[in-house]
Amino acid sequence: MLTKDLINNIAEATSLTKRHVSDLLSVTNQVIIESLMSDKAVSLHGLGTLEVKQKNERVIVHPVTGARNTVPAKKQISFRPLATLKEEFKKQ
Amino acid sequence: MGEKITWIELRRTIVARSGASQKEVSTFMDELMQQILSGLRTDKIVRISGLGTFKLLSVAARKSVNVATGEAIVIPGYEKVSFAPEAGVKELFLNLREASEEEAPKESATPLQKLGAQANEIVGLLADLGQTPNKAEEPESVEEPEQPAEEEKTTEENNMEEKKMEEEKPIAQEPVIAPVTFVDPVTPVEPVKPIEPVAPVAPVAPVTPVAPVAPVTPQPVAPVTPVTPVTSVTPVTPIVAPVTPIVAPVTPVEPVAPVTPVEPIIPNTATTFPTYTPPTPEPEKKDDYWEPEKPKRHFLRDTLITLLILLLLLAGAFFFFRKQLTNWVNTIREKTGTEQVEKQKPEVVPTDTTAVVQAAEEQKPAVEEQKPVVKEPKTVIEQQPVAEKPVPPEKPAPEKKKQQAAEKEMLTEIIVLNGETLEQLAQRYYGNSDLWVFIYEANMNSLDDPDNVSEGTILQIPNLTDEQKNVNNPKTKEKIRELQMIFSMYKED
Repeated sequence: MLTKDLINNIAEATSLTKRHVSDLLSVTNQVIIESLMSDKAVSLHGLGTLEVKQKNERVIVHPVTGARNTVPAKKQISFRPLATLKEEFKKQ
Repeated sequence: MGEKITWIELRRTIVARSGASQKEVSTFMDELMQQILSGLRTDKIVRISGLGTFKLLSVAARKSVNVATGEAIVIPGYEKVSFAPEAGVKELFLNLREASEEEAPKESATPLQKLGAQANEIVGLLADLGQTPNKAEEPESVEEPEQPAEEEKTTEENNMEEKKMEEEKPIAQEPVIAPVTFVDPVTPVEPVKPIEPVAPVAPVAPVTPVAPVAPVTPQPVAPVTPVTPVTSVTPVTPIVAPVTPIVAPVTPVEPVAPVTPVEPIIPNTATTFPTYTPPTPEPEKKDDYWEPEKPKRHFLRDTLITLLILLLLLAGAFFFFRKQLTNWVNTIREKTGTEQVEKQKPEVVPTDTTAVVQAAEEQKPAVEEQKPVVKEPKTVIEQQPVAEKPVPPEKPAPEKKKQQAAEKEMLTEIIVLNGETLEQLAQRYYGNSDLWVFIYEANMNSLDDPDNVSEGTILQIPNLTDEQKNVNNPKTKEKIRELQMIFSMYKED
């Protein structure tokens, strides 16, 4: 499902205009990303939580040459689904 | 990270940003979540531009082992929800890490830095052990101050020497480059040491012969001694190479002015040797100390050991003879009690089943002959109508003992109660569960499985002599082994 379909479906279900829905969607995206960037996890009702994880710098070895390099430390967005959702998809 | 924005907070912020009514936003958000879920169920992927994609990843079934039982299990495959942020969003967080690094660089030193620090520590420890302190620190600190000082001296005193120095420097630098390439992969810290002694040693010597000798002596020793313990084999060969170039640049110095720089190197090697020599005199001293002490200790040990052995022997003899004494006393009592039965003893030891039958046949008349004796227990226990067969096993036990004490009967018949085993019966009648084989031997025909005796079966329990009852007796041991072998053969059939 792409963003277009998503907006269409939401517009049909909620009797909101497509433009309104797309605006709201972009706003929610912004809010979510901004809160994540301020190191705050965002809980999505019925889905799970989006959170930021700190990945430490680590040394990797090139398998052929044996050269050692470092992967720089970084932050990653990670999604943790709800336990109920997890179970639902496990059963399938 | 500890903070978490709840669903309501998210809605509130969206309402504030978008200017839409709270109802609209709440319906939109609920519908958004539902649509994402339904999209995951139907299409297994939901792509939201500006945020990322929710996707179902299928995890394949895999084999595993049950930790408790060791059985092979197949963990069934399943699907899990994953989220991958959009490329632009990901970059935002990559940029974010730079800020975080600037904020907290102290928290985690980089792994390579840690390795470097550890190497420095090790080198420092080794330097302390090797009688020359602060070797690791010396090269870095000494490098810069020495060279300008030397250059100044050279400019002040001799221009001629300067020219020679310039000639020497390129020669010295050439070997410098070679060791760097070798040492880099091994350890980042060490390569500095072999480089410096080469350059400063040569020039300092001609200018002031007294002062430079002191710094020269520790430095060449430093690189050689610590290297060997740090890394066993590989580093040694490259570092031997830089050492030899040290000699090479020194030799060109010799024609210029002094032989002095060469001399201090030789005493250095000499100084290293005395450190190794002391271990040889030490054992000699030890031998001197040990020899007089040995006899003294031996006396004490001998006495202690002899006492211990005596005690052990006494204890062993006591326990050993106690059994024999009790047996002997019992035999004497029995002999005095029953003289006739002794004649029948040899017949009691039947090896083959046929012999058992014969013995049983022989024993029956013997029982008949001794009827008056058998009747005695009957009179004692009046409640039991028939003495031979229906007697419960608990009561015949005392009877049996009486009989044993009074007159040794060859057989007594008992009825097996529920859950009783031959080993239990053997424990009760003979005092040792290992002797169950004799019971089974006497009842081979009536018993199918010696391990599972059904309730109500009538067993004949043969009387055993004391020799047979004694499990430590080698003859009975052999007998038990033989019988067990035979029974196991029967069982297999």
